[in-house]
Amino acid sequence: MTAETLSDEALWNEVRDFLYREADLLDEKRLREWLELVTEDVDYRIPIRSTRERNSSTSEFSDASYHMKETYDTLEARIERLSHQDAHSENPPSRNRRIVGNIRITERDGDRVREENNLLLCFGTRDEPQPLLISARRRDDLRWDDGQFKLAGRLVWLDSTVLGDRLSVVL
Amino acid sequence: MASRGSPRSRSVPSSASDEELIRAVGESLDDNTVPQWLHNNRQLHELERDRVFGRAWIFVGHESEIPEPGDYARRHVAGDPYIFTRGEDGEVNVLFNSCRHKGTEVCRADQGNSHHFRCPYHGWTYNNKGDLVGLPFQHLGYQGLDKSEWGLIPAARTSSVDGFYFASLAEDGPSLADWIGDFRWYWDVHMKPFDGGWEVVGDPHRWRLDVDWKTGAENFGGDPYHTQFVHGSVFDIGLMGAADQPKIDDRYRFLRLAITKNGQSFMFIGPPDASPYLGHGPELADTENLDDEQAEIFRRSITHTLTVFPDFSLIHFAARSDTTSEPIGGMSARRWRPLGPGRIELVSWILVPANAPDDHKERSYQAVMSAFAPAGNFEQDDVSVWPTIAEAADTVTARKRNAQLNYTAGSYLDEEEPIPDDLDHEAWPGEVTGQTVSDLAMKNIYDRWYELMLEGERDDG
Repeated sequence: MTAETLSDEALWNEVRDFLYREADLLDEKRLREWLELVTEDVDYRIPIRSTRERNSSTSEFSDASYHMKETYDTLEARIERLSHQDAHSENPPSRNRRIVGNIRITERDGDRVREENNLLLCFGTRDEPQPLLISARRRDDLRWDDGQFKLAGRLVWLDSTVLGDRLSVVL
Repeated sequence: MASRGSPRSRSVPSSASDEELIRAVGESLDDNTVPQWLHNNRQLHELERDRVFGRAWIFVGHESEIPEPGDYARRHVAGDPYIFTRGEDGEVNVLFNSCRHKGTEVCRADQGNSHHFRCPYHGWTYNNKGDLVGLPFQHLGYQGLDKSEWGLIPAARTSSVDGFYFASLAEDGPSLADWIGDFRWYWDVHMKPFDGGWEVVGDPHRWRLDVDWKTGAENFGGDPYHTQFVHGSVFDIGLMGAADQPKIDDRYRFLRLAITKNGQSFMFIGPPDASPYLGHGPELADTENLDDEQAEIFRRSITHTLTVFPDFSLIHFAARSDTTSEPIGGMSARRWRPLGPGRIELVSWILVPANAPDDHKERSYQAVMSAFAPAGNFEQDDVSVWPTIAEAADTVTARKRNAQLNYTAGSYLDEEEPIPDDLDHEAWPGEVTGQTVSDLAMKNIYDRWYELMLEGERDDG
């Protein structure tokens, strides 16, 4: 079965289920399983955002500087490190809750889908009763591969220019 | 022998005067300790704002961030809002970001290009030298106004070294060249070999952390002791430039820590058996401008860290972002910009050699970003252990017991064992040690802090 044969409604369900499943894996720190949902040619980026004048010819989102600019190999290295006993940024582990919403499919072409969605990550550490909230809009390129969607590309548009803590998780 | 928890004589009363607090720090430093409460103390933080940050040279930005006339960036100098901008004449100006009319911020974006800054409140307009060039309806209410007296306040002094612009809020004091002094010899080791200099890539990373600025400044001044412990996860998976463990009793023992006057500190790590040239390789780097000792340091170096007192540090190292690529050299410069006691905004810039080919620059950027940045594989762990230092500092225990932190490493021997390499560090500027477990550089931050706090006390009193 390919994605092409899916009805609009079935496609929508697959996209939504993919995003929810991916969020659950990341929340549960099942990072190696998450990596199995990523294609080997993945292009994953979180550009730095800065405050710009409204009519500026340069985007708020940098095309040269990033919080993450990842290939499969660099994501794998990050995950391997984070899984190490001495990865102090995640030992004790942070508590994550990803709320994914406003999902909209913007393009559909054969086995490829482009969608955008909103992410609210609640990032909790130590004794803080209130987690740090990280919100962003994400633009994903999904590719149907052997009966499921995989993440072939992600562009994360953060809502902050100054972060409130380390970024020891994937968005 | 001091018993646990009560290593010093008297507790520091909560009503201690500024002078008593500063003296107490001096007493501790004589014993190679630092009072724990110093890492998060509101009273001393307020004094620091004037006596340290109000007198020192503070990093503002790099010339490559504002290459064209009209380019600007919104920055902070000692916590004060400033504009870092290039005028029409090509000169760099550092201007207080506050309208002379009623005090409103006139530059509101982080970066951009504009020949004028127009205050949103009443429309007063300044050029990017800070001159007041226009105000609405001047003929109706400001008939006698002399505009030349109402320009944006420039930073008292602005100066640069190799394109790194610093500003001082004090009208007098040592020049930037004197502030850096003979530390320049260490700075040059890894800056000079690059014709065309360095350039910042993109925008800086900015993030806020519950840690005191002195914790970051001391760590980058030179702390080889922490690497294999805090960053053990990076090395264990083979992610560091050199794929072996940073055991400081083994290959990594070939390092030096150096301190010079005014609080500058430097560390380099370089086993002599390889020629990494800090990950750049001999093709990109030209050591002709260096003297023989400098060239030898640079040849073998895998990592340099340094701090230019008070809050500017940089790491220049061979990095990689996955376990299969070749390591590549790159630089992360940063400010541990104080927001309050025990709190900073960490602003960091990634720089690459200006004359490198584009794909080299991209790889270098990515390698440094993967290591030192909010999501950096190294930096994540540093900042995860540091906030508890600030927490434990602002405590009744720290003050009542006058708890001391240990800065005695390296002070137990009268004579150092010679390092079995060919470097003649006795001849280098300042004070240099080859002892791998040493607080020489870390303690230097506090020694300089103490000097400036006393100087300020003299000047204020």
